[in-house]
Amino acid sequence: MKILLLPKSHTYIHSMAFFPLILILLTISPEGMAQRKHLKGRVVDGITGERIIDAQVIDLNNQSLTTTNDNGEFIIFSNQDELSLRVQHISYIKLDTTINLTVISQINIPLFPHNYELQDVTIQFRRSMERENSTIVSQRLDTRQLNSIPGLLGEKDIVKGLMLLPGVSMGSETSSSFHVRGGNPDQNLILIDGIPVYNISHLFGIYSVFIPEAIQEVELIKGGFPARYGGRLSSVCDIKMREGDRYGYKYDFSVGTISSKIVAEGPIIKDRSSFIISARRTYLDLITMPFQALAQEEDNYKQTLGGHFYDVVVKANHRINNRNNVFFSLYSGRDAIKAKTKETYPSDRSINESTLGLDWGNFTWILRLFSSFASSTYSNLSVSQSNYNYGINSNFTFKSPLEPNVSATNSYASGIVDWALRWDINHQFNNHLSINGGVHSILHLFSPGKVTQEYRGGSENLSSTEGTAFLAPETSAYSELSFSRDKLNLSAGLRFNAYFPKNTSYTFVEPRLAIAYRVNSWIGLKSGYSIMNQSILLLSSNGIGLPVDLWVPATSNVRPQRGVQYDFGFSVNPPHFQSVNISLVGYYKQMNNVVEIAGGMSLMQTATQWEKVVLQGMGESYGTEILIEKSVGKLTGWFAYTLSWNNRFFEALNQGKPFPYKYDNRHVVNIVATYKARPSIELTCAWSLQTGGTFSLPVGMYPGNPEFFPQGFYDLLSGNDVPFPDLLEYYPYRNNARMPSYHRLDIGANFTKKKSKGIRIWEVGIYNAYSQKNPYYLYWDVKDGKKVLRQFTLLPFLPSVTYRYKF
Amino acid sequence: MTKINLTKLFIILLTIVSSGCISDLEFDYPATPNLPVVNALLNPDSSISVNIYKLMGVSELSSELITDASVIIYENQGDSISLYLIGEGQYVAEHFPQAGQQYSIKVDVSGYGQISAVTTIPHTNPTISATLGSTWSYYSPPQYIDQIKAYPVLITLSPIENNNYLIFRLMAKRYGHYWSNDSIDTYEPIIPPRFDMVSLFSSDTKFTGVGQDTYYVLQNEHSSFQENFTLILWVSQFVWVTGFGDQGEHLFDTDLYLDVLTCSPDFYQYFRTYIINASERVNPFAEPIEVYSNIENGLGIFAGYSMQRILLNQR
Repeated sequence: MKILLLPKSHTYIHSMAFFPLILILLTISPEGMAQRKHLKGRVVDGITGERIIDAQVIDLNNQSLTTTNDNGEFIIFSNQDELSLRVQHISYIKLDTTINLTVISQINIPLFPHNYELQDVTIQFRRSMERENSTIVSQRLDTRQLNSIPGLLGEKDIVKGLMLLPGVSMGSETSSSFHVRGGNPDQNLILIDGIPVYNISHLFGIYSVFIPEAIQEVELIKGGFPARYGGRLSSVCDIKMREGDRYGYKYDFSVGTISSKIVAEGPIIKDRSSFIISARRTYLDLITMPFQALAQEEDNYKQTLGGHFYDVVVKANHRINNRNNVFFSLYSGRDAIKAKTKETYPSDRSINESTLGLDWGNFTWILRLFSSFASSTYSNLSVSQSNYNYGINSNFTFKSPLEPNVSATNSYASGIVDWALRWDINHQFNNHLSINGGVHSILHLFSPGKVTQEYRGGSENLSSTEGTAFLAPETSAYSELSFSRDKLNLSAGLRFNAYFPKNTSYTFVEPRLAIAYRVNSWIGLKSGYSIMNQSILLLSSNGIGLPVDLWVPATSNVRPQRGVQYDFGFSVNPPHFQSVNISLVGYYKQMNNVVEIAGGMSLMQTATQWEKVVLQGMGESYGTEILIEKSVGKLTGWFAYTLSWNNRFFEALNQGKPFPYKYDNRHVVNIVATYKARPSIELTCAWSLQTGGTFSLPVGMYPGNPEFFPQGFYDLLSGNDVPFPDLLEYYPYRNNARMPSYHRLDIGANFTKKKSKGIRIWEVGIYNAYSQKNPYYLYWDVKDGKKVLRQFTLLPFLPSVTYRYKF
Repeated sequence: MTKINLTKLFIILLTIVSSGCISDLEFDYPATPNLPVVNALLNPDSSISVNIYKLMGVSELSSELITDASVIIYENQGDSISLYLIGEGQYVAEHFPQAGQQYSIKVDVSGYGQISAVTTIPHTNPTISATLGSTWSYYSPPQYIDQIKAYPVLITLSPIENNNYLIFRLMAKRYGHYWSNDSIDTYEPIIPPRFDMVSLFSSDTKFTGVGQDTYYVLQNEHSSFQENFTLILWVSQFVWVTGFGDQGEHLFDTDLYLDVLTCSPDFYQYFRTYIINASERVNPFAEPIEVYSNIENGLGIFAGYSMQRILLNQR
């Protein structure tokens, strides 16, 4: 097992050899000097008029590739009068077209979604491969296909779809947090329209916060990170929300097993501005509340328990003029769980009431101005806020006609607020060379663990507050060159980051490189290298997905995390199977200063002194990912396989020896297949198999000291006695055993019917179709006087049905 | 088209869904290594006693005792004390160890290498005093998410010797509860005396509970006290110690004792990891903590401590 030590200096400067490379690129004689003509265009959704970001525009004559920017725009230079273009995006049907540049210099290119036949348009479906969709730097996902994957209790979930990709593994079954190439969940930068979201979990992780119907595009970057992204070690998940239909008003209702959703969209000023609003709320609490009230056996004692979550997404855009567009998007989502008891005493007419509540949520917004200055220069200026907080509140009141009223309140709160200002600029020199640059300033406000207590009773009024909030500014600047010519695509960048927590500062230089080389028409090579640093850390005291996690800053005592990653791979489009794409990627990643909580330390116990419970160590991860995908035809889907190793090394753990990471899943296989039986019937199945995670299994026991615990103790979850409390367990090393393999089949079917005023869809699904008893957790029990290991299965078999109507 | 019997289908689905979430896990347990276990906690109030076992398999019902060991303890690297077997793997000597002395143990058992360990017995805190406050206040224990009515325990201490640590616990004397013929409640002490632990909390950052445990307050690692200092601990107004029925008893209706353990570093590490290990066993998501051992070529503990018991309240 090999762990490489990284330098401990506060300033990290690596591979300055990148500078000569960048200089060489800059000195390439721009043949654009000789180009007299150009085509400026915008790629839009043919149905709704929404801009399509990151569509690929290929000049077939010169084999040069450009992608549309955040406004859906592109520019292509040419010496010729006629331009043969191919325009493609993973969620749309590819379009080939020829444009006469002597006549046209500006164009809107509409692309139509794959499921166009449900709409009132017909175009020729082109069966051709989607070979440009996956590169080493990113995996762009077809949201249509992700939406067809059956969800738990009918709730489609983008994040659960991400977990079916190679290199991505889930944590526990119910968790929304995911592990990319052996990284911790906090090492994933998850962006909604460019704003980081700190907690993506609803209902303790059973669902994620994203409403699939409001998402336009999901891009997952696992390596070879572009320099415009930073602040996390393992991945960037860039989710872009839809902008709303520019031509007409549309509504999409769905009623599911546990929640309902509505999406409304339309133009504000036709062809100039549009909006989309989507909202979702669960209603298990509304359904169960009356039954809970009926079930109360005692008149003098009432107890209720309820919980729900909601999400609201609002997005609007407006074209001010031909050069300037303004965008606004907002997300708000929250979970709340509340238990309430009320006890009345008829003898003295006094009332005892107590409530215990737990709530957490995100609130984010961004205002963005997109401008095009000269013919090939674009600017994106944005101001945004991201706010995540959670709280645990308890309240007790005592009311009596005979005695003074008493009320006591106790609350525990934690959160993080980011205010960010960002400016990105892009200039395209010619068809082959473009440069991106920008600055990004964030002011983090951390409040890890604020405890407030209040007591009011009679003449006594007591209150106390413990825990303080503090600021930590962070600024970064980057530059990135993209070069594309003939068979070579190259992106080289440099990111500079300065971070100023309390009483110290850190600066980082992060080189980035991604290269793709096409050997011939069906084989491509790709490679990536990146250094990432992470100045904010998530302290999580267990894997249960409870929001009792702290986002905290790196400080002089707790150092920033740092990662170095190398990728190399190739992709193949077999000549006789044009609809199939095969890719194989190998990677190696080192992580320094990864965090763990010292054993037995509770975050709630130490929230105001969290630095004392943090252990830091190193990690390494390496493996191979294979993806075979078929993206066109009646049968589409993919086969993904990951073989990986994932280890950790902490001086304070496992006697200072390396040990396998908890989620060291050696083999992960995912198969997703969607079959369009008829235009109106779509069948989907997704099968997952992964090697079980590791855990510490005792290999022996020996007597301890029963007088330390004369009372014994009870299991928190089951309430049973912990078996043999007087016996101590002996572990040869940490995580020395593996859980059983996890596997599950989900199946679903969508039945679509055109109605006079819209489209009706029945979505039927079964989660864990063959009811595999996957272990959620293991625990010890006693059977026939012997200690046995038992497993608890959480989600055995769950059918669901959802009714959806779009008009 | 075959007609589907919806009732049958519903029953099948219901059976599958309710087929139970808990099952035994078929597991190939790794072989148990052949390791000796030596347990001895030395303090000046008890004669020397050492227990010696073999490490047992996880599904075995009892420990295999080692009854053929030669056990010698050395006081201050000089005088040797030979221990003899009295049964159940227990070796004893009619000798009371003394505070301030160093002790080492050597155990010879055929089939194992030389088993040894070293420890010291610290002195008790010379000027300790503790009083139970009479005014309650709302207090929020770190282990709880709710608050309790609690009384303060004010403790004054002299400096703690280097490398030694303090551990506090609160004990309530247990009474038997009787109803006499004229329906008058009677409480009598249980004989021999029996004590139950009472939850104890600290609002001082240098002394905290560990794990899920609410009974012990431990001095934090790496904290040192060079001068006299005062510490405030908190105890709930109700304690659960009454003889029959396990009813909550008001604090001032019990005999309350504060135990102060002055520990050698070995005892402290063993005790701390033991408490975390035991208390975290109630949480299936927690990483298990290995209990500290200072036994060369074996497992277990050989460590010294001293204890003071202070009466806080008498019923």
